[in-house]
Amino acid sequence: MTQYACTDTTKDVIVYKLDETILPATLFSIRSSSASPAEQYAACRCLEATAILLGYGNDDFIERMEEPLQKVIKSTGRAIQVRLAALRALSLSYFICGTDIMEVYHCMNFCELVCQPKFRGEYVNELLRANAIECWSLLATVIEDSELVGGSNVGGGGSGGTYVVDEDEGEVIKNTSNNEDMGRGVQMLPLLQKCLEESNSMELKTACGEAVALIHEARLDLGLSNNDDLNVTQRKFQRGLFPLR
Amino acid sequence: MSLSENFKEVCFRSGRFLLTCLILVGCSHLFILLPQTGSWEGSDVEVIIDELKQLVSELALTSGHHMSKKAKKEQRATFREIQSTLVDDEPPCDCINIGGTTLEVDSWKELIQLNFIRHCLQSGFQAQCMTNETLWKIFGLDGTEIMANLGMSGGGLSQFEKRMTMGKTSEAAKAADQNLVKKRKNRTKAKNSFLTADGDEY
Repeated sequence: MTQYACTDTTKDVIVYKLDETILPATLFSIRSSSASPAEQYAACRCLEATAILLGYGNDDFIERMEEPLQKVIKSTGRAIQVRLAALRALSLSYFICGTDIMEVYHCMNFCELVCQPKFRGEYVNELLRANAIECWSLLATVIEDSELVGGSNVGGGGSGGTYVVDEDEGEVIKNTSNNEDMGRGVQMLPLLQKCLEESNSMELKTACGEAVALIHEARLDLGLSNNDDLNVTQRKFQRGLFPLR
Repeated sequence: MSLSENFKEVCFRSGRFLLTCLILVGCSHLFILLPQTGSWEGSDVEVIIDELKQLVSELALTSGHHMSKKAKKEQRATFREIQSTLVDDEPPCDCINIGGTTLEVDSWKELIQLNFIRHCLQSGFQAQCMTNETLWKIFGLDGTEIMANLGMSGGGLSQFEKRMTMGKTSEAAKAADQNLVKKRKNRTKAKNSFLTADGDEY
């Protein structure tokens, strides 16, 4: 798909075939319990590539695949490779096709739940956790720096609160009891630190390290929002300087 | 208004001005004491950030025999880059060539997006980067420049199309090879035809 859909004609074929072939076939494979893990994995990868080919402004596409993909990710009985492929497909679809930032937050909440040591009462595989953190980082690139690293005793609010899942409904609900003013990235730091300290998985450590670098970069950029044209040296020595100082 | 009343008025206004100045200076000192936006100094997570810096620095110098040489090398390279951002505030630096245009990646935002999309597209990454308008917008690529470069280098054919038509493994090359093999067989057969001309076989 990604190699052949390079011209306007072939891309039109993808759009034309989306409703009658691509979505029904992939969603059938994903929903079907009799499909082999390889087939389910291929279906998720196909949806992931389709998101890139469709481009921005395709909320309908996300709407149709969100629910079956979330079910796959939540199903602890499914193969890890299938679950992580489903999570990557969902996140990339929000990143490329989505137009509603609230939906992006919703998907980030979901990634935050999956990257915890325990999800839905079971320990989460470290490879899946690594991919959840990668997906979270991807979605974090589209939100405002103040939402990501604001708060923590510094002016500018975060998105507010941590998120927990309602086990009965399987729905993400907001826990507003603490950290109201902290940005999402700031709230993630203790978890990332724990993974870097304790995990033996190279993938998880790398994903956490990259997320930390992204959060740190956003924090630096927060102090440079009015000085975008500064070079690295200026950025290093002028970061965070208060105008009155 | 008498001179003494004027003097009183001047004194009153001067006093008010001085009071305003004092309030402003006090506020500026208060702002300096607050944690600064743009750095972690004075924030609640300053300790965590310091510990993370130490952890990342240790991972950038990993040694020992608990992992393979290749894995150690990869881990050190990855964490050196993270360390330079976290400790020295230096952005990452990566350059990739897309259809004759160089894409410079100098932030973690772009690097994370690039790695994710590259993982998704695999071998189709180059072909999509050269033709997909969504990817042009994401990475700030100049589509007209890429198309112009492709036009100059390949006479209108993209790199992918050139590989498919002119490469060693293309259908055209395979057909030409099969044709040559067929001709060689016919030639050999014709050369040896006198041996079997009378129907005897040796």
